[in-house]
Amino acid sequence: MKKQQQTLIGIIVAFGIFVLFYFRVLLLPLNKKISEKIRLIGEKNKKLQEAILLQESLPLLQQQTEALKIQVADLEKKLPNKPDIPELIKIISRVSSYYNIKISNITTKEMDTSAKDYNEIPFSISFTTNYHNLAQFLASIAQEKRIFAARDLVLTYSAGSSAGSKDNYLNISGVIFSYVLK
Amino acid sequence: MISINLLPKEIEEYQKFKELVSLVSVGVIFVGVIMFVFYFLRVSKLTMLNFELSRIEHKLKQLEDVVKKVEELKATKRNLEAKKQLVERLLSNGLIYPKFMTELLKVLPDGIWFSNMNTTLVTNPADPEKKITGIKVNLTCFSYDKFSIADFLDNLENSEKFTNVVLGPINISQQDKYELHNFIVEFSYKVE
Repeated sequence: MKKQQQTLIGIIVAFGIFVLFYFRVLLLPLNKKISEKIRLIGEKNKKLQEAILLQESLPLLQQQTEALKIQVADLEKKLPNKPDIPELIKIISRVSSYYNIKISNITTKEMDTSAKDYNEIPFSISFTTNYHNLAQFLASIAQEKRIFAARDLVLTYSAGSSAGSKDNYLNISGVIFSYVLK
Repeated sequence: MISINLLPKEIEEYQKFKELVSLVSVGVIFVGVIMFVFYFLRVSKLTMLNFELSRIEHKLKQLEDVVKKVEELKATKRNLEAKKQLVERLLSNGLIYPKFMTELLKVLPDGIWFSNMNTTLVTNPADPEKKITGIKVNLTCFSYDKFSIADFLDNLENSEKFTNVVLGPINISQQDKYELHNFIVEFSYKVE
């Protein structure tokens, strides 16, 4: 092979090596970096859009939270952290006398702590009234300053009541309970 | 006329070789320039992307406090809503018996009265929130005829509020000129 041919082949091989170097060492990593940046920009842009939406929702959210705070503060008075049994007895007495209910026995029972968010303060109670007054008493006491509910009521017509009369008196026993927040 | 090439053959070949090398060099330079321009464009693109990224990151940093505040507010709101729902649910517990008593009167026909009613609240024992799902009722009733009993059962079974209606034996005793029917009926009241 002549020297000139060798030189020519040398130039072509050198150029080939340069092209390989260009693609492998310069262009390929650069393209990778560009792809990575595009992906990152996509992600950050998404976050930015979300942040802008959050920023726009801030005034409304502040308003809603403030309104909710007032509502909950009002509701929380019905569900305090302390039992305050004297207050509960006062409420039961006041509402029962309003509906002409004659309480014969009221006994505080052990607090039931089985629920997740609240404890129950049960009162075992026996009293006498008629059916309508009982319903009104239960509805009324449920909407008092503290929350009350009834459980396991047993209604028995007292002896001497005439059959089918609306004014028949019932002997009632069961549990009335209130709640405290845990 | 005869033209005679007096140049030595080696010089002629060398001339041809130089031309070829020039041609290859031009080609290589041309391709090299294109590659350089392309590389430069890619580098410019990367620089632009870096600039864009830092612009977005800067904006995100500016909004960081706002986002944090919104997240805090959302958590506070969730907490408050949970409390509100709890109080509302407990308040509705208090109205279960009055509603049940009203519904019972609706299905109790004339001519039937009860002497005894045993009620038991039903909760799901696995539920940590102890939601009340219903009331189990055991009613000892009286009537002067069987038609009223049938009406009562019909009313209970056709009502969406009452389920699992079970009638016990009907005991009949003579009271003056009437037959007094005594029976026990069991059913469940659904709490919505």
